[in-house]
Order: sequence, then structure tokens, then C-alpha cells
Amino acid sequence: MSDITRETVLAALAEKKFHPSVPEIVSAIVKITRSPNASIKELVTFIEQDSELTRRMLTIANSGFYGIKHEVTTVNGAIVLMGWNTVKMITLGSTILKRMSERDHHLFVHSIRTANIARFLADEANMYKTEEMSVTGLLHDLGIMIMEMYFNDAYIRTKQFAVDHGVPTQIAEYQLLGVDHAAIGGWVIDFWELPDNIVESVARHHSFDPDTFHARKTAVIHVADILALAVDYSGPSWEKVSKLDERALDVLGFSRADIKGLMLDIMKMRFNPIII
Amino acid sequence: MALVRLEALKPGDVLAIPLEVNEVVLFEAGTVMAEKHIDILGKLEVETIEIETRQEKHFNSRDEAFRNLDNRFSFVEDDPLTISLKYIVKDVLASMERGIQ
Repeated sequence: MSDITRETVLAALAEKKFHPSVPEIVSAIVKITRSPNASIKELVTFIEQDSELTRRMLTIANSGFYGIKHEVTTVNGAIVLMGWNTVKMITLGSTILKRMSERDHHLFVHSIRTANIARFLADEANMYKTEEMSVTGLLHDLGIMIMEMYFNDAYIRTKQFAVDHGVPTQIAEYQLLGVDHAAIGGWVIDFWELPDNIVESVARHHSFDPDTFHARKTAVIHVADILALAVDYSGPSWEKVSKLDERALDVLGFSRADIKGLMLDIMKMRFNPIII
Repeated sequence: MALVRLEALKPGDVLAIPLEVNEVVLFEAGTVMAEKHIDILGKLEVETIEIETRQEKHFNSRDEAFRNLDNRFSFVEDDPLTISLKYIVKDVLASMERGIQ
């Protein structure tokens, strides 16, 4: 049905880099953080070699986005306060977002909005590590970028189908390609060795299943994505809001009656673009 | 809707209104621009194009904003839970308008 498979996506990534610095940054950080003899010093040294990355990391660490209350002035301080996994996610997330802002402003705005809403929902659901939900929100539509960059014909074809038939893009993708951007994003994030919960939340944000291992986190991204589209009243008319799965609300402990309050709070939000 | 110069047009942009050249409709509204379309427009020396964007729109009336919302929610008309989101957004917009007046 389609030439978009896990293998072809990974082969495309290997052939033409997603971003000049993404593969190097990810593979170096993965290597350092996996090594039994790794030290924070090695990671600090690696990040500090890239002044742009260092600047972004400190800006993000001090932005309030990750809930850090003290001023962070060094990469070492950022790692100690945020932990290795968060540093890895910030590094990757900010690099991808920078690329997205240059290439697809439309997608960039939606991703920032979803990230902010995901963080808010996770807080409201009394979840732990809510900053991780922000990063997942930022990355949730990575698969669309992958399609735009590496499978442009399929991207244009599915978007035209969505416009002509008045359906959400993931339905057009599934119909024409047998796979949707959520699954494609999940393959790439898995390849980059980000935590399993991020892989699942991205891969299943359009096919929520309450019985999966990371159902609560996936529920946050599923709901955040739909609410981000719902509150975007001035968004393009061809972009369709998808069905909200009530089971995702149940998993998060929200009732139908809670929705109005959540929506009112979300509509008052100023969406923070600090992440890049 | 935004008027963009041809140089700024990207594959994936969606035409907001039909594109006419010499009074002939070349591409209908809703056409997703691919490289081939952009090449043709370049050869025809088209300078600007109206595309759909996510930039803040300035609606001329509440009805116009509501119509846009209706379009965006058209796929979930039969789903009471999701469609309830649309009515919440409409309520907020209406109360904002009342606040401004």
C-alpha cells in the first residue's frame, strides 16, 4: 500500500540528516549516558562545545518551562537540577523545534500549543514529571515533518485527500498509506532512543488505548492535541478537529463536566515559545 | 488567509481562493501546493498568492469566526463530546465580544 515503513523512514534519515546537529547530538548523548563509566563532566564538555546549544539549554532551563526555581548559569548546574534524561530531551526537543519553526510555521505553532496544554493537563491530573509531557507535546507531530522532508509526494497527496474529503490528516494518511504520522514519529523517536513513554505517547496519540503500558501519558498527549486544535478558532478551515476519546479523560480522572473549566483555563493561556 | 509572495510559497501550503491567471482559473481553492504547482506559477510570473495560514485572523464578524469553527469541527458533528468543545469556544468568543462592547 505504501513505501513508508519503519525501514524506509530510518533509511531516509540515514541518507539525509534531519538537522545537521541532531544525529551527532543524540548519538553522543546516548553514548555518554549509557556508558557505565560516564561522568557528568563528559556530558558537560560535549554540550559546552556547542555554544548555540549551551545558550538554548540555559535559556530553557531558566524559562520556567521546566519548573526550575533557581537561576541556572552553567550546563553542569542544568544537568544536576534537571537530570540527564531531561537534558537529552531539551537538547533534542529544542533542536527539532528550531528546524520546525524554519520549515513549517503552522506545525510549529500547533506543537508549542500542544506542549503547553499537555503540561497543564498533566499538572491538573497530578502527574509526576510534567516537564516530560511538554517535550512529548513538542514532538508529537514529528512524523508530519518527516513526511514533509522525506516523503513529500505522499505528504502532498494525503493533505490534498484530507482537504478534499474533509477528514483529519491521520485518517487520510491511514487510508492512502496504511500508516499515519503518529506511527512514523514513534519510529523515529524510538530510533533516537528517547524513553519508551515518549515513543508510545507520540505513536498512539491518534489511537489511544487505555490498556497500554503508558496509557496516562498517552492520554495527556491525545487530549492536548485535540484541545489545541479546538481552541485554535482562527486556524485553517481545512484542518479538522479529531474525535476526543472519552476513555482518555477517564484515565486522567477528568469527567465531562471538568472539560469546560479546563477549556476556559486553556483559552486564557499565553502559549510560550521559549523552547527554541 | 494570508497574501504571500511566490518566493515564500512552500509545498504543502493550501490555496485560500481560486488562483486565476488571465481570467482563467488555474488552481481551485483548497489545492495543496506541490513543487510542480510552484514551478508553473513561477513560469507564469505570478507574484502573490492567497493561502490559508494559522496566523491570527481578523474576522469581520462573529458569524465569520463561528463559520470557521464550524468548518474545523465538521468531522466530529456526530460526536457529542467533541462537538461540546466547539460550543465552549463559541461561548468564550461571544463573552469576549460582549466584554469589548
